[in-house]
Amino acid sequence: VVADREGFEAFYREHLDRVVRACALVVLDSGAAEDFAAEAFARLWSNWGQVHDSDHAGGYVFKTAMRLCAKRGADARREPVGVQGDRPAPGDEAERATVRHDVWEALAGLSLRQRQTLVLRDWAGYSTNEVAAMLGIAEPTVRVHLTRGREQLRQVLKVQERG
Amino acid sequence: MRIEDERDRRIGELLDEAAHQVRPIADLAPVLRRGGRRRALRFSALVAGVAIFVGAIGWAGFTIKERGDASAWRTFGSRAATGWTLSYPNAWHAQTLGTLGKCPGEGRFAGAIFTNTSFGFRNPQGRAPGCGDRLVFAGFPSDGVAVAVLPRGGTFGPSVISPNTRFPIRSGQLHATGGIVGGPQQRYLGVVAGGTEKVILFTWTGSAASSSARADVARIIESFRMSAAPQVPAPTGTIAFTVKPSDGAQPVIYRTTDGGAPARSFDGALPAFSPDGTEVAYRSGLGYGPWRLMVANADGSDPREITSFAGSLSGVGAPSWSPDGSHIVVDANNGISIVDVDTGNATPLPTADYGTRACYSMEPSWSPDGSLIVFAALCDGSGDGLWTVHPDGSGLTRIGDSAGRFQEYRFPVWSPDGSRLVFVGQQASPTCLSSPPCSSSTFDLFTSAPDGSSIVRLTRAGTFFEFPSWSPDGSQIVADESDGLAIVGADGAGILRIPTSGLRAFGPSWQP
Repeated sequence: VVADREGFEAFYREHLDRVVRACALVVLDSGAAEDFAAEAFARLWSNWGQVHDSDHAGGYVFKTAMRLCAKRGADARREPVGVQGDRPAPGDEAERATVRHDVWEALAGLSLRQRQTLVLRDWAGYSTNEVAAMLGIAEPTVRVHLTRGREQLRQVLKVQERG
Repeated sequence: MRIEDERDRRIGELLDEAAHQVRPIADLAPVLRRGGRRRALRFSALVAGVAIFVGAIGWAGFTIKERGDASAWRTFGSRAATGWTLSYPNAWHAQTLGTLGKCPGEGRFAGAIFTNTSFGFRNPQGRAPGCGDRLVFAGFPSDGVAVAVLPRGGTFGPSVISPNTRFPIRSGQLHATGGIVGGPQQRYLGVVAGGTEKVILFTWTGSAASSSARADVARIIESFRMSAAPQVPAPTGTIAFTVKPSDGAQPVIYRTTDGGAPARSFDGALPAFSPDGTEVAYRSGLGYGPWRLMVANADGSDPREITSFAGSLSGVGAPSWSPDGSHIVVDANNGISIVDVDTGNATPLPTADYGTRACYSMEPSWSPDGSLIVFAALCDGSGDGLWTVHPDGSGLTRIGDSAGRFQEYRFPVWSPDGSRLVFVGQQASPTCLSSPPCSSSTFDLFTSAPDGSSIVRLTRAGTFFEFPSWSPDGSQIVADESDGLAIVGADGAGILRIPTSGLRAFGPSWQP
């Protein structure tokens, strides 16, 4: 049992950031994202005895968290919570903080579906087919949502380039 | 990360920058507590399950194979909330009815047939069930379930199932079928799933079948009706379709003749044969950047650019020709445009208007008489639909039911005689009896009158259909389904998956 738990703990530390971050980008709430991620990891832990392939488990926990996020993200507030508070600092760091702020704001201007497709495709790196299967929507629909999501973020890029 | 091009990579970097602001606290203890509780619960459920089985009451859940492949098995739980209990492993019927076979020479799953008849099962004429026979299940309050075998082409009779309690099933379309009877205390429903090699028995107890339970049963029967429907004849003629290489390279157009092995024809995507069948309009590629509207001869020779579209939204639909071949309507840049084939001039059409809601107008199709263009709208929030507009831009009209029967309406295409539209409708999964683990929705094929009325469901495969295209005689429709091609009878009879040699096929077009 001890080895079991140590293995899980290592897995947890390796995958936690990615799962929480993806979820936060979708629900725009880092606290809620941590909750959903915790639930996803708890589900995995309850089945940990049957896990033999940590890659597979990584995919499982990521997809579970994203499903939970999507389900409850529909009611989520539109203002980013707990992720926008960076105070502009001098120099490069100030610029990066501005970019982050703009990205979170751009995400808040998108619908839940648009954020999901954008995060799964462009951040997590799934193919549009995989995203379609995960979200239960058609592949062309993924492309439509993705296009609109990307348009928003390109505005951020333009501002960045002008600056 | 597998981001394909520079632009997407930069968007990925932006998201990554924002994501790194999120720094979760790795507190493992609550996770272990939650997961540990669930482990304990599962163990006690297992013990309870064993107790029930020993008591010969039945299983709390059973498995339905929804489609022909074993990966599609799905387990449903009990439906106590609506007064349902489901039972299957009853030794009597499990032995007698456990296996269905195939009709020799008729393709796969042509009928619901017993292969295991060694238990002495005979119809009233003393004949063992055979190829193509239909099965009727009847449940009786005191005696359990009875099964009758109807000869192929036979009909229901009052001696088999009481007309008053018989569940309405569309006859003539089934090789496999089911029925319901019951008294005030118990009701039974038997279904033979012809496409699934399984006999499934539902029973429920309660004072009366509620309307919602009946609706559930109707959905189940409907889903099996589709899987048990007769085979579609093999397609004739030529179908062009798109193949997306797995390495992210540009798509390629292939052709298959009479359902045979496909052959690579030329580069491009989403082909559309001209009305006389001699030319193909297609897109230069798929993606998010600028693209070119191309026309080539039907064999792929002499490709020429008609016009190009800039802008980030390249559209998602196939081109569609005017009946005289002089113009092509396409979706591009969040709207619909008519392109003059000779000059390349593009004229935008008015698009779906839901007031303040932002919409994408896309996937246009030109009517065979030339008078209307139908297209789909995908909008923020709910309220998607199909729209028609005259080619001169007048008469923009929303068609279809405004009750929101579908979450999405997509890919409307006129039949060759202009009397019907085929389209893809998204609905909640019809066989979803329990919340998880059902997928949230399916995209199936439907037809309707040109004004959107009299909707007929063609498929219930639980998958994603896209890009339908009619056969020249209007009797069949080809569409892509989960990276393959499927032929569906225009009256909803059956599905035939045609071989694509393992290629990821989508966006087919049937040569007139």
